[in-house]
Amino acid sequence: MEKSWGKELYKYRYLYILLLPTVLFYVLFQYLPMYGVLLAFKEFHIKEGILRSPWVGWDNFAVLLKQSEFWQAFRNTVVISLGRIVFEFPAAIVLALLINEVAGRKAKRFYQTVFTFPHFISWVIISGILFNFLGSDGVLNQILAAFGAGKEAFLTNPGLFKAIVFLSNIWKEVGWSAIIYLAAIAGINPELYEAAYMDGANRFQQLLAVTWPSIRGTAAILLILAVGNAMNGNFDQIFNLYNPGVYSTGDIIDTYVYRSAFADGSGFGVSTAIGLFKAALNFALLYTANFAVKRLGGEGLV
Amino acid sequence: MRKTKLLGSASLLSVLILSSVLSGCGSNSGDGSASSSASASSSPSASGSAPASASASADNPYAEHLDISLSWWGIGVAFEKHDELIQKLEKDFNVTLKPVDIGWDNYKEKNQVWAAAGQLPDIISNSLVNDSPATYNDWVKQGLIHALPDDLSAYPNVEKLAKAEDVQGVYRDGKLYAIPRMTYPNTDMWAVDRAIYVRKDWMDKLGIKDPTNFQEFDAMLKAFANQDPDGNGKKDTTGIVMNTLGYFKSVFMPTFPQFDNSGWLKEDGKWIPYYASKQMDQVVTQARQLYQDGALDPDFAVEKAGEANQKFYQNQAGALAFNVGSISGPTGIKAEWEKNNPGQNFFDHVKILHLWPSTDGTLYRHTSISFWSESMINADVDDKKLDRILRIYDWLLSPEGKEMFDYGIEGKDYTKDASGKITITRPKDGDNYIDLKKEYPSIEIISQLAAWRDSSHFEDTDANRAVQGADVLKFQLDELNWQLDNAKAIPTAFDISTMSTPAKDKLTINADDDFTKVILSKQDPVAMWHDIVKGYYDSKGLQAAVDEVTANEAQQGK
Repeated sequence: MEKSWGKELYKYRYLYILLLPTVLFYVLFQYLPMYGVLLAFKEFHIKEGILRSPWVGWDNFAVLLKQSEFWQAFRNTVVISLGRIVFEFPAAIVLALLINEVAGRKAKRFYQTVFTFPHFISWVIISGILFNFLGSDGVLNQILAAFGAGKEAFLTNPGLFKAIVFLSNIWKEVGWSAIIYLAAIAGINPELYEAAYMDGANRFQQLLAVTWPSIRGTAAILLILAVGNAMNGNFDQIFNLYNPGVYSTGDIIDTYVYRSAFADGSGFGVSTAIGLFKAALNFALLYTANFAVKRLGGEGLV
Repeated sequence: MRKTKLLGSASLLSVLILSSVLSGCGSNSGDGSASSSASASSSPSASGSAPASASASADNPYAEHLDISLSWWGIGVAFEKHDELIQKLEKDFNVTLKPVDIGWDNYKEKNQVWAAAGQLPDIISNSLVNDSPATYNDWVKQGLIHALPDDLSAYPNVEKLAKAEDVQGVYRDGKLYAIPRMTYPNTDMWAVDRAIYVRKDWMDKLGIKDPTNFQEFDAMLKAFANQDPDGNGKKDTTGIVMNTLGYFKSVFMPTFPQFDNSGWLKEDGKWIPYYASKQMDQVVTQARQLYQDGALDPDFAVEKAGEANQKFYQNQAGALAFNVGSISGPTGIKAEWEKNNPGQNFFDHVKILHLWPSTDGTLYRHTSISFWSESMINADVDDKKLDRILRIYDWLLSPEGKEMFDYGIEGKDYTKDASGKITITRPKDGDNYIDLKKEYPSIEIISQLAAWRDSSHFEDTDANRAVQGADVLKFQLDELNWQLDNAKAIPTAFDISTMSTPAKDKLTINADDDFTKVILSKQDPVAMWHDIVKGYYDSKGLQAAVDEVTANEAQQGK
């Protein structure tokens, strides 16, 4: 048995050598840093480092569960993540299908470029743009004023914050996310379309009978990944858009951790505890989504 | 043959990828086991620049060339041009200064991250003693920062500072771990660190007199927002804007003095932080009223520091909450306002609004502990470097240093005769001498490294008149004198702000964020504030901190 394993290894040595950097990358940057989660059960002393800091058991978690702001952030994270899956996830599929229907290579390229471009703008800049749009003297308020309506504080209104988050993220990312679907669509055998055409299917029927079934597998895998990422909530975006006025609906776990660890200085231990808590939830969600997709007859990840 | 070639190129490829991966983590210093090449390049290149005087004798304290890294807000840009001032400092003290950038929005986070990663610079600019004494204690306890030598007699100017009265609270177990950055030589001059600029031309146009209570103040700002004070027929103005929230808080000084300077006060026999006081009820009610009436800039919560000033400069706001000193300079309030209103004199249109007396009849003025922020020395700095740093600080605090910051480099920017009379020789731009900051972009930072020197701004000297303009200087001096003559400093327990007790150290509360939240909300402000204090602050250990501080103060008979 052992001998055959060695034989196998020798036989495919080139592939293993090429695999090595990736394995080492994961060990170095993904697995080794994991010892940092020990901090969740420790009181961090900067000079002594992570390993030599004293143990405190579950104290950090106890502190966490007592904080009402944490539960608020937890609730917001769940709601925002659900909203992302409901609103943002299908947006990319719809866009890919639409772009695919555009006639003419040049027009297709043009639309794809236009929709992809915002992905490369950072959130800092987008927050500035949004401020000019939605501020008290912003474009939107000026339009409203032209119709005789009063000024509205869009950016500090907790009821509107989530809508702004979803819409701005769709605007920024939808083109980029559509690329993977467009690639899947490009891989569809044209004979399928020809056969459908011969059977008398119109374009919409072709879309339903050929295009969608062909990219469903891709969509399922991306959905699993999106669910597994659900507790992350996109720190970059929220951090650049939020303000104390919308903490009640916009503060997510990541931004809360950031404020409590760095700005308020309430300690790395508690922040790591939150991080660990979040990671455990993400892990559970990923498995649930994977299980659900498999049960529904799709191909899962694991 | 072909196979060995393939094997060779495959392993070469993987080695290449690997080494690029490894060099990425190499800069993280510390356990240099990962990569020898990366750690070699991160070691200081001291040998590269030879010491100025190679044949120096052993007792020359400047014999050895040293690299000193220092952090400062925006130092990257200011040190980009290696100007003559930096060159002179580096030559005189035989050092190379390595700038490490921090920003006003993120310096606390950056310092925390560097502390955790062991990457603090040699000279650390931070604000812990006043703003988060718990973190200061933490840093002292964990040995992150260097204690200054007990005997500072070799550095007389530093020693003088270390012996100042309100610096005594910075000592921990008899040792000083920070060089406080003095803003003013005493707590009185802080009066000019708050000012409400107001458009007197708008007041005249709308027939408004100086407000004598909060309701009149609110009515005035409301009129600015609603009654088209600039006469352009559009509703495009607002009441009051702020540089940062801290300046705006001074508006509530008559309502609740300690709210302005975030102090502790005695209420019902207990020492409590301002946010736990009953007087907050009225503050949040009034603040909400300002916001609802449109008297307060509706965007205040989303604007970044300094952003809203533009509204005042561009005639879109009737009042600006800032401080007195910021009026002067090429980017000061006056210059910026006149840039946006060409051909008009700032003083014909703007004045400083004096607040009204509080309910007990006393007119209060802002005060604070006489320093804000501090320089700390990295614990990894050796004795030789510590000595060099302290020598630099001693010079920065000396009269010679002051002369350079006021007049520039002797022989180039000014001359001094035998009697000590100074003649400025640097070129003029219009009526005023060219700003030293233009010639030496680093001068602001170098001159403020050891002390803010805000008071030098208010000295009635030829240099100040030349740089700021006589009218600007007079405006500021008049305001300072008015405050000192007419108002009384807010009663402030300075000892508590630097006091360290176990529960108080753990108490980290950002009341400004919650204050903002209450202003913006539509719910009842008083009930909201009570909920925040009772529910949230108490769960963070407020009551234990109050008990400990009260016990501590009782011991001292307070």
